[in-house]
Amino acid sequence: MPLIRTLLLALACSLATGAIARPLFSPQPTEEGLLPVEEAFQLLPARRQAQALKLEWNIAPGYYLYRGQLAFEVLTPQGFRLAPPRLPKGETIQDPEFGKVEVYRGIVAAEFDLPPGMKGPLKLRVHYQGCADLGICYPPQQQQLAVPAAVRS
Amino acid sequence: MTRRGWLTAGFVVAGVAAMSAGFLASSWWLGGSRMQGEPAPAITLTDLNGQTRTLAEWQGKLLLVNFWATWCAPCVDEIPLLVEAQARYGAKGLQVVGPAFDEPEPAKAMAQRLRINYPISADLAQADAAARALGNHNGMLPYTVLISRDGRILKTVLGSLTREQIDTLVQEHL
Repeated sequence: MPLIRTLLLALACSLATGAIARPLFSPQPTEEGLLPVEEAFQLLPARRQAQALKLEWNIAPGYYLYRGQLAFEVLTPQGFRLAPPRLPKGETIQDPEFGKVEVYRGIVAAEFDLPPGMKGPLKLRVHYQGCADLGICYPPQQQQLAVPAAVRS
Repeated sequence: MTRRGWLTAGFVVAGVAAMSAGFLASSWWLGGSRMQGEPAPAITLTDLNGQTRTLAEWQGKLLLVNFWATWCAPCVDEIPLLVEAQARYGAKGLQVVGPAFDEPEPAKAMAQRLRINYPISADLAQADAAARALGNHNGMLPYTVLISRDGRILKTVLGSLTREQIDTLVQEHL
């Protein structure tokens, strides 16, 4: 009986191995083989200092964000505009149709200087768009982000 | 062969068979062609001239529906191959259609730049609804669906096609 049980277990393992191995041999990617957009490009909670704001993405290995598709809107307070962020130099990739484009991998941060009078909370809408190295692109994303008020020192 | 030998051989054969079964089952479950054989859903698109088009109007042709966007580099890189396919196989019954996840202006500019020789639409909501109806639920691009002359889904492909893949697919079904 233990032998039959071992055999059945081994067969089940073989079945599972075959199922798991299949995507590795697939000539085309599948939707299920790709990360959901929020895991591929994880926007981390905003980090606020008195006169500075830092927004960071944690980009999964095998995925990249386009520098040219990053955009930031202030929803509240109304009428307040952010100065352009400081962004690191990204990786340049050559595309047959788009030419040279700058992309980010790993951790990337957009850093903003805030004017001295801006101490209250902010609500932002962040735009970004990226692709997977497999040759699949995700649609442009918009995410609202609450930025807490500056902590009084 | 000894009894033990037969047992080992039988075990190996059964293991390989189980692994293959898992591979095939997963292929059916994960493969990009889960809709294969199903009738194509009714889809309405508005082309760049403002004309309402339906996939049904091309029934009798081999339809290659290619979802794309101007912000999607792999899509834009693939378009010259589709233009080439339309030119080469159009007279034999191929019809390429390109719903874009885009606004009309950038799509129009790209259509001119790439000399797109097949109908395209540029309405985000329409493209999204059409892609979902054809099995793409996350708007990932490029996404291509091949529909037979009698309106059945032959294949869905997520990701760019090569010239060889397009030729093979089209020649197989024309």
